[in-house]
Amino acid sequence: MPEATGESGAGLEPVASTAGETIFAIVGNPNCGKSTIFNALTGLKQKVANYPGVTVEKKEGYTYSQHGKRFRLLDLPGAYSLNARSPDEAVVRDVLLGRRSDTPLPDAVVFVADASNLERNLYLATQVFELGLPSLLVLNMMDVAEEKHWRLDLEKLSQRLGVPVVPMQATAGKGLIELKAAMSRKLEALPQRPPPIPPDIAKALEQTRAELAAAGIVKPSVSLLEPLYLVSDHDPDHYGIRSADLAALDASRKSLEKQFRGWEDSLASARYAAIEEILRETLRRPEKDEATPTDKLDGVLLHPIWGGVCFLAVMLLVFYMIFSVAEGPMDWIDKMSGLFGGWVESKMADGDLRDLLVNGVITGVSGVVKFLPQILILFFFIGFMEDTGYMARVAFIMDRFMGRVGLNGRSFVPFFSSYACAVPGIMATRTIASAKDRLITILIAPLASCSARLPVYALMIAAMFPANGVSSVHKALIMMSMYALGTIGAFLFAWLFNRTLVKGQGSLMVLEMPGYKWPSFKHLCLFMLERAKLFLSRAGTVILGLSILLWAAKTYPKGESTFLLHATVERLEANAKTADGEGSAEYEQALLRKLKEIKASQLANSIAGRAGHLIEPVIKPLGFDWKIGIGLISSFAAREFFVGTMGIIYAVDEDGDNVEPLREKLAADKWPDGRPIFTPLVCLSLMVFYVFAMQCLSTVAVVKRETNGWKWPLFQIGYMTATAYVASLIVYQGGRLLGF
Amino acid sequence: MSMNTDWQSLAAPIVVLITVAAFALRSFRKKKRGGGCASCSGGSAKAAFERK
Repeated sequence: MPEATGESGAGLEPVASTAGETIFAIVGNPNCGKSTIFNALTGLKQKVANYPGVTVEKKEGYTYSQHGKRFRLLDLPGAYSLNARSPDEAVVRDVLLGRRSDTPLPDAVVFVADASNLERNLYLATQVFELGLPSLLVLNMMDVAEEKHWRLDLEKLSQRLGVPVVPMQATAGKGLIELKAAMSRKLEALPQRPPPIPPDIAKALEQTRAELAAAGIVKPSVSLLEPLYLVSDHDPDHYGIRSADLAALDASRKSLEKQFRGWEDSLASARYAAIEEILRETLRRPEKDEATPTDKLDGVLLHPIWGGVCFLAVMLLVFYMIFSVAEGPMDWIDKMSGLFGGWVESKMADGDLRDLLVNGVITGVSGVVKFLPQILILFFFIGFMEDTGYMARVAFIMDRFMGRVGLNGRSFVPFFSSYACAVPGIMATRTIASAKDRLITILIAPLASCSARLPVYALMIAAMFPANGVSSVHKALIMMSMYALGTIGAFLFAWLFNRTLVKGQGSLMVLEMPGYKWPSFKHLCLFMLERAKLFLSRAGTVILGLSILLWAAKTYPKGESTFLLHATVERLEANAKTADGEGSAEYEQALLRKLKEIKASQLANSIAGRAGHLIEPVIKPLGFDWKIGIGLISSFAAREFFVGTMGIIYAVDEDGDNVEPLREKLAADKWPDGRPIFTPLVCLSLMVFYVFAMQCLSTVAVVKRETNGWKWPLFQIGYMTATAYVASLIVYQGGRLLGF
Repeated sequence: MSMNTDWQSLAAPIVVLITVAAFALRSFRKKKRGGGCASCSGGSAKAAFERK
């Protein structure tokens, strides 16, 4: 496994802030409503990027004070502690210590805490306030605390922590004006208070600071906190720490551990004791906590049986909505692209460039773009489930199954992320401490049906039922069974790899259950907008390029048939001009048949056609012909391009008036002996193939990077392709034996 | 063949060659940058469900 050390962007000198603007860092635990507040403050004035070399999002935005002063906001990743255990926490530590060369040291901190879970939230809050940056504390989710009948003395809490306190209910927009007012006031730098460190450990840390300063790792003038948080870094990737510094830090850690066994645990206990004391004075809660709506809902949603039933019902609803709601907008996109293609055709004379634009670019790109509504609906539900807190319950439910295959719920989060896209899912495995669990999760992650498979499934389901007589529930059930098949396959392989392939220790998981809350509509819209932008920019770059290349592959080399083609078209045009009787109509039909034959022979002799014919003997037992073969080859770069490929390939069958939808063209296509190619069984076989096949260059590249070599990505391509082939073979041949 | 077809026969391969060059440049720049989230067009690499 990799020993990667993310040092990009890390350094001792922060970049300077732009004059005239105040930089606020928004800090807090995961699930405390930090992003909701960030979105409420910035709206669309935000940009999202990544911290270099790591899957941690770097979000920045702007807002203005009540007097028009510009505030720059950094939405830092969720963290539990400055003693980093993940790249996210390492980023928070380094930004707040001013150690990143790509991010300025913030002028002030807005710490967002979940008011209904103060003990845990104040752990990081006290660590942050001790750094001395001007700060204010936002107590979000006050409504949940009130539901629990908690009474907080905000003034006293403010006094004890030494920072202004702003109560909020971010999802309802309550407290936002007060927050802006608090940010607009001049925030004082906090006195650098000594953290609760016993004097003997503090003395040893002074020695550590001197050693690290001598090694050039920290400046001699820094507070004790910087060496403390660097020495207690437990991030497996040591993100933000130069690899040259690791040995010195490790030596210091070992030396401290030798002198004070369990010193980190005792520091944590001392901090919790101090927090408990603060809360004793500032928080009143009932002797016995009443069952909150969250507890009541969890009684059903986490129930061993009903929890699973509810999860399946939710998934069925998601897929039903994908089919029923998206149908209208998809038809509009189809019609619009058809009209656009027709308009281009009417404006340009016949020729290669027109063919490239109409049958390559427009057909290829619109074939993929038309699935945007379905993808947006999928992401709407993903965002909804995440924002309501249901996603954490799904992880809990799945933990039982993951446990049976030797993994835990921590692997479920990256795996579940892969339903959106395997690339960030695989990068998210960096949060898994156990090397064994991490590798297995990387190996099985691409088996989760990512959003790129959605267009392929949708096209095949449409081709299965071209007559439109089948209800959306049936289609949703077929789609859901494909997702279930991928999930079951992933679990089976995890079990197999756990027993055979990978040696090592697994790890335990602690899962946080946030309270249920209504999602912020604005946050959901922004989330969907972000996904739409990514999808469309991909369609405008990768898919556009692939469409052009595939058009070239199906058009070149041009043989003698090109001259025949042009001659036939000219004769057709001439006939159209002189046509005045029935005899010329017959002649036109004959010419059209000839035209179709020439186009078919041109496609068969093209680069793509030859490649398809080359692999046809291998894929014929799966029920696939050479045209599907072209789709399989071209979609290795990106799965969703299978749909674009089919559009481009089947565009050759078009004559002047034939503008039927792709699904009907597929349903009408036949083998030379007259049998239909896209029977329901072939469609099913093809979907099963895509469930298991790797078919994604980006995933191969990211697995290579994450595992530091070609061994595992090649193994992954091998086992997934073999499984796809065998599963597809079983479906097709088994189906035929059963008489389908 | 008409003049129109002639210039189109020349323009189409040029577009294809430009596309090939763009893909090559893109992969070269990605390599130089040390990767990135190719599947997400270099944008968010955050797992959709990972954290808020």
